[in-house]
Amino acid sequence: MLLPEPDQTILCRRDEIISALKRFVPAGAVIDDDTTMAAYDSDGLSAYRNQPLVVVLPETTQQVAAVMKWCLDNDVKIVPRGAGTSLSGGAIPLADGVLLGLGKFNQILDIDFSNRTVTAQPGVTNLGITQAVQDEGFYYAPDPSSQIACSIGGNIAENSGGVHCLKYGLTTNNVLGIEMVTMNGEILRLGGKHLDSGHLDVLGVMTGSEGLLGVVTEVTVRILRKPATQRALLVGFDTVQEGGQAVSDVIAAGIIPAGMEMMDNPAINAAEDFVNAGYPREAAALLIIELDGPEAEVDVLINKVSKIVKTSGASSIRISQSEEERNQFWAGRKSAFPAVGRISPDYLCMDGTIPRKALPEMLTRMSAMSQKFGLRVANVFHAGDGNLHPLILFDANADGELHRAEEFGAEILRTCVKLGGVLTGEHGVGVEKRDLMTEMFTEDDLKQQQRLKCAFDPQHLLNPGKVFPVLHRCAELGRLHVHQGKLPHPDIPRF
Amino acid sequence: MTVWQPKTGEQVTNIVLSALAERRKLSVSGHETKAGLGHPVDAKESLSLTNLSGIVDYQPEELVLVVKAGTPLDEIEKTLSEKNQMLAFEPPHLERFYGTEGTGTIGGLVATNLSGPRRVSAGAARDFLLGFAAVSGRGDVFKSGSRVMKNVTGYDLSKLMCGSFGTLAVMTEITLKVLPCPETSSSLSLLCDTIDSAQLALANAFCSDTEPSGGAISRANEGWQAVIRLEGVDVSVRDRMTKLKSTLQSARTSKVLDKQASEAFWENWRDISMISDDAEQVYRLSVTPSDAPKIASSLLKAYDLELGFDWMGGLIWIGGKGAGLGQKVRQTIKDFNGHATLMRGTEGHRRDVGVFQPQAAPLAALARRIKNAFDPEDILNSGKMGTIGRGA
Amino acid sequence: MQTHFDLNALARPEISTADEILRKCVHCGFCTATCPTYILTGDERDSPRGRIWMMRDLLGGGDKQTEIKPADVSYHLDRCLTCLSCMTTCPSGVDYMHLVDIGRAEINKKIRRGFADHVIRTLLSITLPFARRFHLALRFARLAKPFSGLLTGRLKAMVNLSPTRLQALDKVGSEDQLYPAETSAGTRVMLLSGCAQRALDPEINASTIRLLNRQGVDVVVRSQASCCGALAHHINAEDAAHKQMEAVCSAWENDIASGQLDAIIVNTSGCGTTLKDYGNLMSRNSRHSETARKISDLTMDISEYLNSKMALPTLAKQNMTIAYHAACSLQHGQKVLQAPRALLVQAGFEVKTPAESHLCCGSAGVYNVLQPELSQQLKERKIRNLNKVGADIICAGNLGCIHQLSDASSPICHTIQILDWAYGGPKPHSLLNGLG
Repeated sequence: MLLPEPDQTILCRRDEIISALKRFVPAGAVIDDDTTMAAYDSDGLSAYRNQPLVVVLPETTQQVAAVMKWCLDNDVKIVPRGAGTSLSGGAIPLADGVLLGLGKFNQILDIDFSNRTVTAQPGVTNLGITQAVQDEGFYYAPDPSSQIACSIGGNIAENSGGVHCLKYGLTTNNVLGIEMVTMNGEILRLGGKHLDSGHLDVLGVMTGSEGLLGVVTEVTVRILRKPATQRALLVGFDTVQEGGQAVSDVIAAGIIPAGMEMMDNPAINAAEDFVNAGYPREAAALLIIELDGPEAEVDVLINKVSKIVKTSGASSIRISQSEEERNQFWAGRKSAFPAVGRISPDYLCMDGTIPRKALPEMLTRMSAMSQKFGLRVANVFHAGDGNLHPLILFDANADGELHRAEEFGAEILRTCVKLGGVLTGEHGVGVEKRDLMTEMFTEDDLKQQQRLKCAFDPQHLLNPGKVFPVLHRCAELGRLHVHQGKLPHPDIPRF
Repeated sequence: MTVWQPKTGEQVTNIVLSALAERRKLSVSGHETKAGLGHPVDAKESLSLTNLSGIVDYQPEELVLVVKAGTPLDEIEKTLSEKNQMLAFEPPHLERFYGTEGTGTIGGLVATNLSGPRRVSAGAARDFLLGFAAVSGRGDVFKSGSRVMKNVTGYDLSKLMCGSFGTLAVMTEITLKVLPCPETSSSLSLLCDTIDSAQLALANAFCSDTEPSGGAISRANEGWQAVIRLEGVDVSVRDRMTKLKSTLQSARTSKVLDKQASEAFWENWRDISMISDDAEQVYRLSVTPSDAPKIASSLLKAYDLELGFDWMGGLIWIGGKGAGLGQKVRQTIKDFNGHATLMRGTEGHRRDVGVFQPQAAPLAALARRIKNAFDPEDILNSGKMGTIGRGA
Repeated sequence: MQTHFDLNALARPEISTADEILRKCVHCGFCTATCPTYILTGDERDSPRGRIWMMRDLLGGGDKQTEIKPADVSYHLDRCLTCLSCMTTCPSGVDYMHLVDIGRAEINKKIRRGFADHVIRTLLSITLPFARRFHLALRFARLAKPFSGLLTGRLKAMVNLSPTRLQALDKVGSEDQLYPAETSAGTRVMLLSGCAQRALDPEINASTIRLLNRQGVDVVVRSQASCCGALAHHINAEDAAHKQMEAVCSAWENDIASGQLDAIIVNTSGCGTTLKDYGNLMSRNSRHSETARKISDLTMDISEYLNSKMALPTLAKQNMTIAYHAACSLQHGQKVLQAPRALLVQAGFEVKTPAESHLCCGSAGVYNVLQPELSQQLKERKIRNLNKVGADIICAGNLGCIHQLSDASSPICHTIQILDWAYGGPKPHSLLNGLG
């Protein structure tokens, strides 16, 4: 995958840029030595690295604003970075851009139980928010698997999900307000502890904008009281079809579990080898269904779900009788990724969503692709909302395997779209899926999105090269063609 | 006044394109049930979506409903209830409130982002809009979102469309997430001495693990009535009600509303029953719940008001009259953070006070640029959200 | 992650080992969440993931086109506490401990430290491992303490760390000695008497021996096994470290070969981690590798030994709360988590865990001397968390921690001192001015 060609004039001005930026932040906050800048040259998509022009680690919103304003005035690009755990390459630096790290924004600013909100700086981790309120019996619901390390600011950029978003929504459904800085250094406050925006929902469109519209410098989220009870079912199926059917049947019965995860046979066995969670090794599909809420409700639902999965053809059912057992059910799923990492030198974690009922069809097609590309694949899904995480196993040190794995991944995502789904359910487009955007969107769709970008960042200085395959100039996008036929466009270079 | 009534998306596109070519402004509407909401539109022609109606695809087991933008809300609600499903954000029926007929279209509902009492726990209309197809003010057909919930591909334009009052694009097709209906509902009504103690009772209820799905405060003869709704499976609701009652022991008197009474209360509350038909000005304030008592008291000191709270205190409905009421509301909101919308009033009120809360200058400028990104010639619902970019 | 070592590089055993370790890392970043220096600075370069990424480049396994300056990497490896909290968190099983050893050794070959740095390190490595010498140094430092305000940086840190009240040098370890049990059960263990510990707190060894004796265990101490070599190893004085490790092996080889030892007991968890790694550290030492391996197998922390091999009686409630401070070397390095807590509960105490208990107190061997600012921040954070618990006593299984946290509101002592006291020994001296 390619990033935009670096602007030579910027590269030539490197020293001047570095001295200018040093004026806006404390000593030591500008990192410009080749050796240690490398620590910032990659994120969770670690197969790719790119040395930034310089790294800047501000400590206050004013410093962020000053840096961004200066960069706008001097035509310097910016790549924002949270915890650098993006799996789609959202924080991969640009050689002619400033890597703006928000790691020093790590304080929780306000906890308000009465209004059920937490206000935190963007570098606070997702789990850090829950940890700040758990002693009082509260938690922050969206729980991406990387929650121990991923930042809440990054969660907003990616609109992160997690196991529990089936019942509790994604980040966008749990964010109440942000403070953000636009490329021209303006500090905007959107939302707060009150609900709804009262005007155009800029907060809504900022969430999931992958660092292209602005830099988040403060976040207010909704916290929830921990449910009174949490119990889980561990259900094995002889065929994936039956597993998929069970998922549909549960939802069709009017039950929204807190989480519904599926693992296929390769994933089950990798996890069993690693943590010995007691999974049925011969099962073609394993479903972990979590139900939470008031105790009486959970008891009723457990019974209902139990009956439903039996009817769908479950070959084994276990119901957690204790908190310990519930955690044990989850142990294998939670360590699925590292478990797979043990059986293969490397793996690509893909992310796509399909309608739930297309699950069996998808797995069948994936099996054929596995043959075609000659690479193993293990599957872990958020079955409840059709969000897949195929893990493509390969060896980065073996010639050409990374490339084949990426081709396999792209094929999977194209299939997701063909089956009525989308390219990415949680991880974002980043650089990883940028060149597949045309599978899902027409030229007009993409241009309209880019026009939105022009409203925030007309000079395309924030995170260019991510999400959109072709960068159109704003002036050109703004031009109206009144006739039905299209005006001829000058050749836009692709990168 | 020319009224365009397209039957297909293509016709919508042609209407917009021709209007664009001649710089004719359009007033975009559904059944105009909420015509009283927003500033008057500066347009000589009307683009009505009433004939762009019908269910495109409904898959209950996928929790997805795809409809044409002009589909009436009651048709949708009937279709969903047949499968025991609902629009969880509890869209209000505002016929009585606005003195119009019919429940309006789904397009209008999305455009105004109006949600009912369950918004406090389930989310607003914007949290249920999965995707849409539309024609922009540039005459471009475009889509965003999808039919699946887990989708972060590209910008979330659905959020922008919701609450944009038709000023950015004309929606032609809308995809919504639907949810199963709860088996039953029951509500606890507590008589409290003050708004403060009533709001505190609501806060305590929501901080408990009884999972309320509605928190309202209404005026009572001697004090204030805090009403808390519990929904779900029958045995669960009964259990939680017992727990809730013991958690909120300190209130003076309490009574439990059974399913019928509970549903009746919340339906009325959803439809703004606490404000009488002849209230001259009606404001809808969105505030930090714990600020609600202070805000209300400050307003009540100065004016005689009809008053009701929803969303655990985070929503305040005010009905009243008098010169300066609007300014007082605006000023109070400014002091506390939040926003106020003039939901009903005369043209004079709209001019004086504006319909929407004025935004900070940089935000207003951004809103103007966003408008330009979709409708550079300002042909769609021009002026509906005030002069976007110049405050109210 | 991908590595790009050429075949020549991979021919070197340490590079080959490093390659194996690096390949396991998937750059997921989970480790950053529990790394004390990352939590303090928010700077990727002070996180395990960042250090791993830079070490890959430094060792020649990266594909960076530009030159790597070892001194720049060294700065961040120096700031690493080696607390190993990252290893506890890592879902992929990256052996950070051995990787950072290799990284530091490599850097040591490539850079020359500044004069002041060199002096401090030399000073530390010639005093701390030698109890008598260290004790003498502490007496002088005590005199300098009132003037510490005039000093700066590491010198100031060293002086401030010296105790105001100095006890007599521990006799245990001054000569080969058998400490027999009152009624011997025929079980015999070897005790590492330690180095700095003998100068700073002789009661730790005394209470260890008393409790073991009371349980019918004979304790042997060999004076030649004075320092386990951990300190020298961690400041990259590899030759000195090796000499000390060889001395330990020589001192113990006969006892080990006799097969009479039930275990080798360590009561300073920092040493325990190193002794358990002897098999690896001495693997290429032809003379001692066998003994070293056996040392690794036999070594147990005193809490492990008591919990798994002794059956101590359950005592009645003591009506005292203990805040248990989990030393990094014990919880992360040796993965001993429950044993100390279980023992204290069994002895009748209510045991509480402070918040952020996975975070280092900042002692980390001589880190509190070499990195005084970071160490101080961690110390204050840990003391705040401990004070919030408001327990009667704080217990820890490592001398360094005990010394670092002596400013906490509650008195602090070694877990073994409390256990010895509960099971019939004298009251620990740090409690004498307080509790009834």
